[in-house]
Amino acid sequence: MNLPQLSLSNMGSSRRNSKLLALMISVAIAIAFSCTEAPYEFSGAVSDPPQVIGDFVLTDQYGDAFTMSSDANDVSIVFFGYTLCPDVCPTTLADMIKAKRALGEDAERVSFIWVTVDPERDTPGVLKQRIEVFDPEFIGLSGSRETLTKVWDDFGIFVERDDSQNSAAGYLVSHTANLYLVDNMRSKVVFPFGTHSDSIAADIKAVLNSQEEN
Amino acid sequence: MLRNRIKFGLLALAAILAPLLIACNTESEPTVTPEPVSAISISDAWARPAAMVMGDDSAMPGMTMDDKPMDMDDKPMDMGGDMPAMGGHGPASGTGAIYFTIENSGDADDMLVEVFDLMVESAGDLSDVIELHETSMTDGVMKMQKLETGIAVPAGETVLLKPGGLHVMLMQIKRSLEPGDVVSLGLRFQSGTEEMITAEVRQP
Repeated sequence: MNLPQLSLSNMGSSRRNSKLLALMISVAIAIAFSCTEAPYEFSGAVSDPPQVIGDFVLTDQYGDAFTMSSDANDVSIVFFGYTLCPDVCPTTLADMIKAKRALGEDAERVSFIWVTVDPERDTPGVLKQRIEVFDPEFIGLSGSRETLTKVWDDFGIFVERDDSQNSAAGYLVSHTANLYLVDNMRSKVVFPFGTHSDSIAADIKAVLNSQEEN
Repeated sequence: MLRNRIKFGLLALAAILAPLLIACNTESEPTVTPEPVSAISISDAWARPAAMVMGDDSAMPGMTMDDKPMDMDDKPMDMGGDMPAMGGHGPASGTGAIYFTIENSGDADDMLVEVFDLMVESAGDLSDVIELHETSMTDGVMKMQKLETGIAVPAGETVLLKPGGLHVMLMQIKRSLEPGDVVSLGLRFQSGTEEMITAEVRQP
């Protein structure tokens, strides 16, 4: 390769050479910058500092106790909803399924958890039937309203029973419809309703990668 | 001569009156103009997968559950047996959602007032309880609202029913909806128009 000769002796003498030098320096700087990896930009909203989640014990769809802190997986994706909800909740669950698929093998390191906002109607048996339509590997959690209220509060979930709709469904439940990425009992990334599943998967991968580095 | 004059006069009078009469005619009889009508067409109908969920008053920590009665895949009609739920207070509570696009290419406003089960599938009827709902999102909080009067479809406009917005809510569904299944529903509009739709079940 024939690179232009650059020596101290001819640098000052030629305008052309000084232009070349400037060009080479800027190329060198550009290369240097591209070598140091740019920090990953999360699609979801990063909680800074991460929201600490108190440990809790709820009942899964099989009727077994589920302790959040003993969840063996590296990362959890947590969603709050109720089975009677036909629109937003299934949409979010479908996004979770797509994110899981996009993760490939990494999906094995992730728990997908649905916490009910309607414990009176979402018993484990009801949750089980609903979850089987989506993905039987998902974890559906119910429990006493008292225990759940503490969990909702830790995540900052708004839950309100709405009796005003005169629907055959009985009461409806208004609730926060975000997805939460939990790592080591801390909610680190929040995905608003409608976040693309590929973005969710990419963010999960970034957290999994950062765990490997540590 | 006089006769000719009268003839001419009458002709002239007729010539003057004729256009006036015609003008008069069109203005005094508005019934001649067609009344505005709505022209409804439905497209892109689809349904979400949904689970028939039987009521269940079981279920607090510590209780064990027999998996078998819950297994709906092979014996959907044989669920009553020993399921703790059947005698309990929980009614069937499975819900589903149907989405489609309504276009009104007419010149009169219309409104979707009712959706009903056509019960034509060999798989059996689906739901007797069908409502029109709208989801709204405020600061991340989802709120669902029953639309008592219906979904307005103004003249010349297209209204989209889609996830996170307007939808048809099926309640107490009598069979599970798996991807590939087909659902037939009737739509009744305020104008009297009735449309039949077939919605394929798919995972969005």
